[in-house]
Amino acid sequence: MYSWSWWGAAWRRWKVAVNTAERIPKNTGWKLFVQTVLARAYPRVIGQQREKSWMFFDIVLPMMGVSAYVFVYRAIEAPADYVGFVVMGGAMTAFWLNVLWGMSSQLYWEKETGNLGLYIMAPNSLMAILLGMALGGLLATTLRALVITILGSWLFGVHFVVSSYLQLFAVFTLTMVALYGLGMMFASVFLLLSREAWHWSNLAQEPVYLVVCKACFDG
Amino acid sequence: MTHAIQTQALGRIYKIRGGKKEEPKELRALTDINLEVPRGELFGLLGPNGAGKTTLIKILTTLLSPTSGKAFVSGFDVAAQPELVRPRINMVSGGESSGYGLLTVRENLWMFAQFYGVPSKIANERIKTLLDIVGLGDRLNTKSSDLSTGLRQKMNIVRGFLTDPDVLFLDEPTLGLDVGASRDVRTFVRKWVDENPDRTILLTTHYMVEADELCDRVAIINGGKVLACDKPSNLKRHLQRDALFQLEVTPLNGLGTDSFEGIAGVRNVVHRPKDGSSTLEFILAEENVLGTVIHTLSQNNIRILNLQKREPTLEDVFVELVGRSMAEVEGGS
Repeated sequence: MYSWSWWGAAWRRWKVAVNTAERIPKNTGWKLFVQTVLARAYPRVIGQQREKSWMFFDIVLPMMGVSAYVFVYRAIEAPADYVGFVVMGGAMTAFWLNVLWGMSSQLYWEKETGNLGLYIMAPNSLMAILLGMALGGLLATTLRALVITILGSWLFGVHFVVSSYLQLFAVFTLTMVALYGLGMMFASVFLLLSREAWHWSNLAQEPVYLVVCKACFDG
Repeated sequence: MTHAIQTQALGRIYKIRGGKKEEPKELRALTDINLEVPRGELFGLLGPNGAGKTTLIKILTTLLSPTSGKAFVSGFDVAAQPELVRPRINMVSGGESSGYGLLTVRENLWMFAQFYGVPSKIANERIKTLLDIVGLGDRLNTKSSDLSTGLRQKMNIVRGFLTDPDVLFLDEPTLGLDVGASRDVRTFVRKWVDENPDRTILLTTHYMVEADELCDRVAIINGGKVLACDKPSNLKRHLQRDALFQLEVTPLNGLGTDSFEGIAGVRNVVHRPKDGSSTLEFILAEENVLGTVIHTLSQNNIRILNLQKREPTLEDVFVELVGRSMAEVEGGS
């Protein structure tokens, strides 16, 4: 005759077995890496669709800056080619600003909201999180840059002649890899050194504006 | 048998930097913590703010390195083998604002499930099931920024359970929640442990009732040290030989608790001032000591408005161990 405690223990063992059998499967290795990259890129891409204010801040405001340069060049009777450089500069600056504000200081903000601890604690690689941030930021900013380019070309009558699409793609890809790679490195540095990351971003933003302005005026 | 959680003489010291020329100060957050939590247990860490609960959780979840000693989760060393610990754990903190406000509840939960390698199809099924259980099923497609604090915390709770962890760390999970939401969360947590006997939960709280109601065993922690560790009923049983009285009296008019602590047989007294009255909670060695206490009150022209004999609670256990109430410890008095 079995005692109640025996039946209790048996039931408990059976339940453990059932529960263990029901454990959910989880991917590891490269599948987990890819899942993490896509999941972290998702909020950046989808966020842009939901927050329409980006159209004003990321298109209208940069377009005003581009317009200012175009009018200055026209006033000093600079060659017409310069207007093209200004439009391209306006588009490419969007990527630099995204790297500074959306990549470099991002882990700092993630720390403030409590996400960073969850990212570190999860079994994925932090590199996958950074790559996801970069990929999402790149996709979202490409759309902004395209809008600036198209709008700028239409407003100021700029015509671009592409001699080699392959070279254009290769140069753009190389630039983006270098730029977002820099952003990934900055993200770690900001997290390590800075409590007030936005000051560093400000510091890094101004020299690029200076270089762009100088290149435009000297060009 | 491997314990779900085990710590051996675990210690953590924070170095706090002052000015440039000052030497960094040391803050001892944890001292010689020895704990063993078997699988299937809902284990509580009870202590005031600053007791070291969150530091302990951060070490166990691989977010912080211990300064001394060892800690194991599911049999793996948290400092030496974090990559083996991480797939087996998850954590939910009270009042956290994790996730992204622009994403819906489902999208946020899906994103975190992806970080653990849960396939999308399974993740979506589990999200729906778990949200239904916590009463959030109708908010699946609500942006998380549109959720109230209570609903957002329920979403966070689901995030913790979603990845089916072996060991789940709940750090003050009901912090800032209203009574109803807290009860829902507690019910869900208890049910999950009961239905999954091989899963373990470590819960930190400074709510005595929560620890008493939920936990199989409780460790009382203060000043970075574990003062006692047992079942809540056993902890309270130690006090059952004492007499516990709660007296509501007219304001004490400057009379300090030391006036009572000098009376032979008064083990402890806690004073809680209120508008127009004061509450005194006594732990007495014997019931007849109450006579001397009442005599002291009447000598100081303090009238008794209400007198109650009560059963010991974990709060009384804490007072007995620390010498002060948890509120007094948190207030630094």
